[in-house]
Amino acid sequence: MTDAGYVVTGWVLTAVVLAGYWASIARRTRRARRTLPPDRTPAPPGETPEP
Amino acid sequence: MREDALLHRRVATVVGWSALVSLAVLAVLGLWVAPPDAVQRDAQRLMYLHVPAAWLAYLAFGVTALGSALYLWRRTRSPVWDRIAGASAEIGVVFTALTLVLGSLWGRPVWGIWWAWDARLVTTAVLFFLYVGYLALRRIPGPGRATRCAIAALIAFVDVPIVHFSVDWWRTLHQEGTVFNDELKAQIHGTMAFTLFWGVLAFTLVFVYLLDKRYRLEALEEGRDERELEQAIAERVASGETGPGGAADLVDSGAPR
Repeated sequence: MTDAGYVVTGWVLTAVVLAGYWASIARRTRRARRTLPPDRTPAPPGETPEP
Repeated sequence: MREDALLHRRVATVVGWSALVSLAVLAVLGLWVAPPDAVQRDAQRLMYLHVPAAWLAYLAFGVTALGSALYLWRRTRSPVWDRIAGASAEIGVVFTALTLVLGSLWGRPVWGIWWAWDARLVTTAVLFFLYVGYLALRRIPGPGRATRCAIAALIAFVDVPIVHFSVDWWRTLHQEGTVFNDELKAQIHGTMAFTLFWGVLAFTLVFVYLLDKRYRLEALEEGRDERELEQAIAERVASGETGPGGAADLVDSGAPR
Protein backbone atom coordinates (compact mmCIF):
# COMPACT_ATOMS: atom_id res chain seq x y z
CA MET A 1 0.00 0.00 0.00
CA THR A 2 1.22 3.54 -0.75
CA ASP A 3 1.54 6.31 1.87
CA ALA A 4 -1.68 7.82 0.51
CA GLY A 5 -3.41 4.48 1.04
CA TYR A 6 -2.49 4.41 4.75
CA VAL A 7 -3.56 8.06 5.14
CA VAL A 8 -6.93 7.56 3.42
CA THR A 9 -7.54 4.37 5.45
CA GLY A 10 -6.82 6.26 8.68
CA TRP A 11 -9.09 9.19 7.86
CA VAL A 12 -11.94 6.98 6.62
CA LEU A 13 -11.59 4.73 9.68
CA THR A 14 -11.78 7.74 12.00
CA ALA A 15 -14.93 9.00 10.26
CA VAL A 16 -16.52 5.54 10.51
CA VAL A 17 -15.61 5.18 14.22
CA LEU A 18 -16.97 8.65 15.08
CA ALA A 19 -20.20 8.16 13.11
CA GLY A 20 -20.61 4.59 14.39
CA TYR A 21 -20.13 5.55 18.03
CA TRP A 22 -22.56 8.47 17.70
CA ALA A 23 -25.13 6.14 16.06
CA SER A 24 -24.59 3.55 18.81
CA ILE A 25 -25.32 6.12 21.54
CA ALA A 26 -28.42 7.35 19.64
CA ARG A 27 -29.69 3.75 19.21
CA ARG A 28 -29.14 2.86 22.88
CA THR A 29 -30.81 6.11 23.95
CA ARG A 30 -33.90 5.36 21.83
CA ARG A 31 -34.05 1.83 23.28
CA ALA A 32 -33.72 3.10 26.86
CA ARG A 33 -36.46 5.71 26.28
CA ARG A 34 -38.82 3.03 24.95
CA THR A 35 -38.46 0.96 28.14
CA LEU A 36 -39.33 3.90 30.42
CA PRO A 37 -42.93 4.97 30.99
CA PRO A 38 -43.61 8.65 30.06
CA ASP A 39 -43.59 9.81 33.71
CA ARG A 40 -40.06 8.36 34.21
CA THR A 41 -38.52 9.71 31.01
CA PRO A 42 -36.40 12.76 31.85
CA ALA A 43 -37.68 15.88 30.11
CA PRO A 44 -35.25 17.16 27.51
CA PRO A 45 -33.40 20.19 28.88
CA GLY A 46 -34.96 23.48 27.94
CA GLU A 47 -38.45 21.99 27.99
CA THR A 48 -40.51 22.68 31.09
CA PRO A 49 -42.34 19.56 32.25
CA GLU A 50 -46.12 19.92 32.34
CA PRO A 51 -47.55 20.39 35.85
CA MET B 1 -26.96 21.53 36.35
CA ARG B 2 -29.94 19.28 35.59
CA GLU B 3 -29.45 15.67 36.57
CA ASP B 4 -30.52 14.25 33.21
CA ALA B 5 -28.28 16.28 30.87
CA LEU B 6 -25.04 18.19 31.10
CA LEU B 7 -25.83 20.79 28.42
CA HIS B 8 -28.95 22.68 27.47
CA ARG B 9 -30.39 21.17 24.28
CA ARG B 10 -29.59 24.29 22.18
CA VAL B 11 -26.02 24.46 23.53
CA ALA B 12 -25.57 20.75 22.72
CA THR B 13 -26.80 21.36 19.16
CA VAL B 14 -24.37 24.27 18.71
CA VAL B 15 -21.48 22.18 20.11
CA GLY B 16 -22.42 19.26 17.83
CA TRP B 17 -22.48 21.38 14.66
CA SER B 18 -19.28 23.18 15.70
CA ALA B 19 -17.58 19.81 16.15
CA LEU B 20 -18.76 18.62 12.73
CA VAL B 21 -17.63 21.80 10.96
CA SER B 22 -14.29 21.73 12.83
CA LEU B 23 -13.70 18.13 11.69
CA ALA B 24 -14.48 19.07 8.08
CA VAL B 25 -12.02 22.00 8.28
CA LEU B 26 -9.47 19.64 9.86
CA ALA B 27 -9.81 17.28 6.89
CA VAL B 28 -9.15 20.14 4.45
CA LEU B 29 -6.19 21.42 6.47
CA GLY B 30 -4.71 17.99 7.15
CA LEU B 31 -5.13 16.48 3.69
CA TRP B 32 -4.55 19.47 1.40
CA VAL B 33 -3.32 22.65 3.10
CA ALA B 34 -0.55 21.35 5.40
CA PRO B 35 2.67 20.52 3.53
CA PRO B 36 3.99 16.94 3.42
CA ASP B 37 6.74 16.08 5.91
CA ALA B 38 10.34 16.30 4.63
CA VAL B 39 11.13 12.73 5.77
CA GLN B 40 7.84 10.89 6.18
CA ARG B 41 6.11 12.55 3.19
CA ASP B 42 2.31 12.10 3.14
CA ALA B 43 2.23 9.35 5.80
CA GLN B 44 2.76 12.10 8.40
CA ARG B 45 -0.79 13.38 7.68
CA LEU B 46 -2.03 10.68 10.09
CA MET B 47 -0.52 12.80 12.89
CA TYR B 48 -3.50 15.21 12.63
CA LEU B 49 -5.78 12.40 13.82
CA HIS B 50 -3.44 10.26 15.94
CA VAL B 51 -2.32 13.05 18.29
CA PRO B 52 -5.82 14.59 18.83
CA ALA B 53 -7.25 11.09 19.43
CA ALA B 54 -4.57 10.45 22.07
CA TRP B 55 -5.27 13.88 23.62
CA LEU B 56 -8.99 13.08 23.75
CA ALA B 57 -8.27 9.76 25.49
CA TYR B 58 -6.16 11.57 28.12
CA LEU B 59 -8.91 14.18 28.55
CA ALA B 60 -11.65 11.56 28.86
CA PHE B 61 -9.75 9.54 31.47
CA GLY B 62 -8.89 12.78 33.30
CA VAL B 63 -12.60 13.63 33.48
CA THR B 64 -13.31 10.08 34.69
CA ALA B 65 -10.70 10.47 37.44
CA LEU B 66 -12.06 13.89 38.44
CA GLY B 67 -15.66 12.62 38.49
CA SER B 68 -14.58 9.61 40.54
CA ALA B 69 -12.68 11.75 43.05
CA LEU B 70 -15.66 14.09 43.43
CA TYR B 71 -17.93 11.08 43.93
CA LEU B 72 -15.66 9.66 46.64
CA TRP B 73 -15.40 12.99 48.47
CA ARG B 74 -18.34 13.07 50.88
CA ARG B 75 -19.02 16.79 50.43
CA THR B 76 -19.56 16.47 46.68
CA ARG B 77 -20.91 12.90 46.51
CA SER B 78 -23.64 12.71 43.88
CA PRO B 79 -24.72 10.15 41.27
CA VAL B 80 -24.05 12.88 38.69
CA TRP B 81 -20.28 12.44 39.18
CA ASP B 82 -20.55 8.66 38.87
CA ARG B 83 -22.48 9.03 35.60
CA ILE B 84 -19.96 11.55 34.24
CA ALA B 85 -17.11 9.16 35.13
CA GLY B 86 -18.78 6.21 33.39
CA ALA B 87 -19.78 8.21 30.31
CA SER B 88 -16.32 9.72 29.91
CA ALA B 89 -14.53 6.37 30.37
CA GLU B 90 -16.45 4.80 27.48
CA ILE B 91 -15.48 7.69 25.19
CA GLY B 92 -11.87 7.31 26.38
CA VAL B 93 -11.84 3.61 25.52
CA VAL B 94 -13.16 4.27 22.00
CA PHE B 95 -10.51 6.93 21.37
CA THR B 96 -7.68 4.90 22.92
CA ALA B 97 -8.54 2.09 20.50
CA LEU B 98 -8.56 4.63 17.65
CA THR B 99 -5.18 5.99 18.80
CA LEU B 100 -3.68 2.49 18.73
CA VAL B 101 -5.06 1.65 15.29
CA LEU B 102 -4.05 5.01 13.79
CA GLY B 103 -0.59 4.63 15.33
CA SER B 104 -0.29 1.19 13.76
CA LEU B 105 -1.37 2.56 10.36
CA TRP B 106 1.22 5.33 10.69
CA GLY B 107 3.94 2.97 11.95
CA ARG B 108 3.69 0.56 9.01
CA PRO B 109 4.94 2.97 6.29
CA VAL B 110 7.33 4.87 8.61
CA TRP B 111 8.82 2.12 10.81
CA GLY B 112 8.07 -0.80 8.50
CA ILE B 113 6.09 -2.62 11.21
CA TRP B 114 2.50 -2.61 12.48
CA TRP B 115 3.43 -3.09 16.14
CA ALA B 116 6.50 -3.00 18.39
CA TRP B 117 6.87 -3.97 22.03
CA ASP B 118 7.75 -0.36 22.72
CA ALA B 119 7.10 1.42 26.04
CA ARG B 120 4.64 3.97 24.58
CA LEU B 121 2.69 1.37 22.62
CA VAL B 122 2.55 -1.18 25.42
CA THR B 123 1.54 1.33 28.13
CA THR B 124 -1.19 2.64 25.80
CA ALA B 125 -2.48 -0.89 25.23
CA VAL B 126 -2.43 -1.43 29.02
CA LEU B 127 -4.43 1.81 29.40
CA PHE B 128 -7.03 0.48 26.95
CA PHE B 129 -7.43 -2.81 28.83
CA LEU B 130 -7.51 -1.08 32.25
CA TYR B 131 -10.51 1.02 31.21
CA VAL B 132 -12.24 -1.89 29.44
CA GLY B 133 -11.96 -3.59 32.85
CA TYR B 134 -13.38 -0.48 34.50
CA LEU B 135 -16.39 -0.52 32.13
CA ALA B 136 -16.90 -4.21 32.91
CA LEU B 137 -16.76 -3.43 36.63
CA ARG B 138 -19.50 -0.81 36.20
CA ARG B 139 -21.83 -3.53 34.92
CA ILE B 140 -21.53 -5.62 38.09
CA PRO B 141 -24.49 -4.67 40.33
CA GLY B 142 -24.54 -4.60 44.09
CA PRO B 143 -24.18 -2.23 47.01
CA GLY B 144 -21.17 0.07 46.77
CA ARG B 145 -20.90 -0.33 42.99
CA ALA B 146 -20.21 3.38 42.36
CA THR B 147 -17.62 3.60 45.17
CA ARG B 148 -15.85 0.48 43.92
CA CYS B 149 -15.77 1.87 40.37
CA ALA B 150 -14.53 5.29 41.50
CA ILE B 151 -11.58 3.69 43.31
CA ALA B 152 -10.81 1.53 40.26
CA ALA B 153 -10.91 4.61 37.98
CA LEU B 154 -8.42 6.46 40.17
CA ILE B 155 -6.06 3.45 40.18
CA ALA B 156 -6.34 3.09 36.37
CA PHE B 157 -5.56 6.80 35.90
CA VAL B 158 -2.04 6.21 37.25
CA ASP B 159 -1.23 4.78 33.80
CA VAL B 160 -2.00 8.07 32.00
CA PRO B 161 1.19 9.95 33.10
CA ILE B 162 3.16 6.72 32.56
CA VAL B 163 1.93 6.65 28.93
CA HIS B 164 2.73 10.32 28.44
CA PHE B 165 6.24 10.25 29.93
CA SER B 166 7.15 6.76 28.65
CA VAL B 167 9.04 8.32 25.71
CA ASP B 168 11.20 10.31 28.16
CA TRP B 169 11.68 7.57 30.75
CA TRP B 170 12.64 4.75 28.36
CA ARG B 171 14.40 4.46 25.01
CA THR B 172 11.54 4.01 22.60
CA LEU B 173 10.88 3.61 18.90
CA HIS B 174 8.10 6.14 19.31
CA GLN B 175 9.31 9.70 18.88
CA GLU B 176 9.56 12.13 21.82
CA GLY B 177 7.20 15.07 22.22
CA THR B 178 7.13 17.27 19.12
CA VAL B 179 5.18 20.11 20.73
CA PHE B 180 5.28 19.44 24.48
CA ASN B 181 9.03 18.89 24.64
CA ASP B 182 11.51 20.21 27.21
CA GLU B 183 11.66 23.68 25.57
CA LEU B 184 7.90 23.75 24.86
CA LYS B 185 8.84 24.72 21.31
CA ALA B 186 6.92 23.11 18.45
CA GLN B 187 9.54 21.57 16.15
CA ILE B 188 7.27 21.56 13.11
CA HIS B 189 6.24 23.89 10.29
CA GLY B 190 3.79 26.65 11.28
CA THR B 191 0.94 25.31 9.12
CA MET B 192 1.51 21.81 10.52
CA ALA B 193 1.42 23.16 14.09
CA PHE B 194 -1.78 25.13 13.36
CA THR B 195 -3.44 22.04 11.82
CA LEU B 196 -2.42 19.95 14.82
CA PHE B 197 -3.86 22.48 17.28
CA TRP B 198 -7.02 22.71 15.16
CA GLY B 199 -7.32 18.93 15.39
CA VAL B 200 -7.02 19.07 19.17
CA LEU B 201 -9.73 21.76 19.27
CA ALA B 202 -12.04 19.77 16.95
CA PHE B 203 -11.62 16.56 18.98
CA THR B 204 -12.24 18.47 22.22
CA LEU B 205 -15.57 19.71 20.79
CA VAL B 206 -16.37 16.12 19.77
CA PHE B 207 -15.65 15.02 23.34
CA VAL B 208 -17.94 17.66 24.89
CA TYR B 209 -20.75 16.70 22.50
CA LEU B 210 -20.36 12.94 23.01
CA LEU B 211 -20.04 13.31 26.79
CA ASP B 212 -23.38 15.10 26.95
CA LYS B 213 -25.06 12.45 24.76
CA ARG B 214 -23.49 9.57 26.69
CA TYR B 215 -24.41 11.15 30.04
CA ARG B 216 -28.10 11.37 28.99
CA LEU B 217 -27.96 7.68 28.07
CA GLU B 218 -26.38 6.82 31.44
CA ALA B 219 -29.22 8.65 33.26
CA LEU B 220 -31.88 6.87 31.16
CA GLU B 221 -30.31 3.45 31.79
CA GLU B 222 -30.28 4.13 35.52
CA GLY B 223 -34.00 4.95 35.37
CA ARG B 224 -34.65 1.74 33.43
CA ASP B 225 -32.69 -0.35 35.95
CA GLU B 226 -34.60 1.20 38.85
CA ARG B 227 -37.89 0.40 37.13
CA GLU B 228 -36.86 -3.20 36.49
CA LEU B 229 -35.87 -3.52 40.14
CA GLU B 230 -39.22 -2.14 41.30
CA GLN B 231 -41.05 -4.54 38.97
CA ALA B 232 -39.01 -7.51 40.23
CA ILE B 233 -39.76 -6.56 43.87
CA ALA B 234 -43.47 -6.09 43.12
CA GLU B 235 -43.63 -9.50 41.42
CA ARG B 236 -41.93 -11.26 44.35
CA VAL B 237 -44.11 -9.47 46.91
CA ALA B 238 -47.19 -10.46 44.91
CA SER B 239 -46.06 -14.10 44.80
CA GLY B 240 -45.47 -14.04 48.58
CA GLU B 241 -41.74 -14.83 48.52
CA THR B 242 -40.20 -13.75 51.80
CA GLY B 243 -37.38 -16.25 52.39
CA PRO B 244 -33.79 -16.21 51.06
CA GLY B 245 -33.77 -14.73 47.55
CA GLY B 246 -37.05 -12.98 48.25
CA ALA B 247 -38.02 -9.33 47.80
CA ALA B 248 -35.88 -8.07 50.71
CA ASP B 249 -32.76 -9.68 49.23
CA LEU B 250 -33.45 -8.06 45.87
CA VAL B 251 -33.45 -4.62 47.49
CA ASP B 252 -30.19 -5.35 49.35
CA SER B 253 -28.33 -6.57 46.28
CA GLY B 254 -29.42 -3.66 44.12
CA ALA B 255 -30.21 -6.20 41.38
CA PRO B 256 -31.03 -6.45 38.57
CA ARG B 257 -28.94 -4.20 36.35
